[in-house]
Amino acid sequence: MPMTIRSTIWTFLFSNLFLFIMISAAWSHGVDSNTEHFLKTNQGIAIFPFLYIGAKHMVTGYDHLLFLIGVIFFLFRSRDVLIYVSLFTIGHSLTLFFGVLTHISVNAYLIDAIIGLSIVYKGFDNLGGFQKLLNFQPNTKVAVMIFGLFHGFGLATKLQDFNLSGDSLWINLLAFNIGVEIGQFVSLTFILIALIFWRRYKSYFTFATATNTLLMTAGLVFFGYQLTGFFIG
Amino acid sequence: MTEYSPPETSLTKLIIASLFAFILATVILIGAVLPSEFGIDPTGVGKKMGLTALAPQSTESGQAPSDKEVVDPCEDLVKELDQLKMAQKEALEREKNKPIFIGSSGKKTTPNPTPSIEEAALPPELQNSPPQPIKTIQPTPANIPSTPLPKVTVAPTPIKTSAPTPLPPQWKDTISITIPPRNGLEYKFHVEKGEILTYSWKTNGSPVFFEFHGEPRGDTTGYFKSFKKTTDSQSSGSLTAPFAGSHGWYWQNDTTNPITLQLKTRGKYRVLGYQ
Repeated sequence: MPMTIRSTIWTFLFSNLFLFIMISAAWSHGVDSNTEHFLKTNQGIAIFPFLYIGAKHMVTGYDHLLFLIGVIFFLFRSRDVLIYVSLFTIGHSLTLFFGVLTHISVNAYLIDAIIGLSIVYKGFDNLGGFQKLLNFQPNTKVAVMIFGLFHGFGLATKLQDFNLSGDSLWINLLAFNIGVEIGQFVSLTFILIALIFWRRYKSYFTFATATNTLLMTAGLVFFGYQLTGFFIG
Repeated sequence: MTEYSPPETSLTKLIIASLFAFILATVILIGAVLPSEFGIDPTGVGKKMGLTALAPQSTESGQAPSDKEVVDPCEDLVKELDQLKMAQKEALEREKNKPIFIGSSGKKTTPNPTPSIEEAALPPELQNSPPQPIKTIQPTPANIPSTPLPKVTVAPTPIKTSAPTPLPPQWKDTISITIPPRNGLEYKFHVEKGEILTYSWKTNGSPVFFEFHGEPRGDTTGYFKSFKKTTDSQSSGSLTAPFAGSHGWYWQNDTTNPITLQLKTRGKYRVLGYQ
């Protein structure tokens, strides 16, 4: 990796560290349990609260994080990371807006089950499973975009559980979405730090199969958990 | 596709990896996740490890708390209150015949083995009042109902005005809560399904926006059920938990001064405290 790209990445990483620390500090004051009440009782424009809620959802949502780990596992160039993450972002932003504005909500368990499957898919894809099994590599960019659409529906479904007020819905929704991107940016930073460190060692490639197998495992557990919830609830 | 280079994995390796992932996921699901989250425990391993204790009780009997239920909360509450009234009457009868001890503080329910109805009917605030650090009751309209008149209706909302049911006099816990200006906070109790939380709280005069609500245990969707949501300077009653989980209040102080309130509770619950 050329020095310039490397230093760009490090600048990118450390500039986010501060933001992350600030957010974690905010959590320790127990803000989160008031979130739902805020959403329930809030009326009018509330940009920063919605920013925060969106960011928090992304940083604490391990399903999103696992999927992102899968997506960038074999992306070694920062340009590619940017392209794939942007596709994911476009995907989930589209359905987030579409879902909330048209009041379409999918069962939360089902959408989470699909998100679980997206993790399994990416793990399997990283193992080269499709090439080996089907002699065919599904377009990875399209796949990321499609799963982005599902993740967005998940966000829309969760946001609609709270009866959002109509007048300032647009602005609040936009704030939420930007918050989601900030949260994704911040969590991606830390995933990248870990992966870049690990990539300096041979073990990254030695354990690539094991890592993606575990990713599939986690996705399957999440899938089974959500599907059970769907049939029981 | 220069940017994407999955390693060459042999078919055997791929099948082994996929099978391994599938088996491990199944073991984790059946052994840990399903017992803990839903109380589904086909192997009995979850019970042995004590994981089923984490599951909502209702699911063990086959009913899950559904976050899609469309029950009118008021209707529910009225039903619950009716049941509660019956239960309380029975309890009072029993108490009259045989003095019992309740409360963790070890205080007697009443010094008199046969309490008079009047005594039992006093608003709970007036009985067993421990030293209250901040109690500046002004005769404002807000706290007139709690002036020492026997058989005064304490509950202020339409749902609960039906009857000032004589409450057993002893409170288990009393806590003084201060809500900072322009701020909100939560105080919660863990209550199992069907258990009763009897409560009474009163502010130092100022009305406060509040929402009495419950969240099912293990729920991650952010769903909660609202029992009561209004602005008042006091509230009292009993809740029969519709599901196992954390139940309690969210208070919001929209004024520029701190509001102090005193919350008294009784029943079968575990204090979770500030959230």
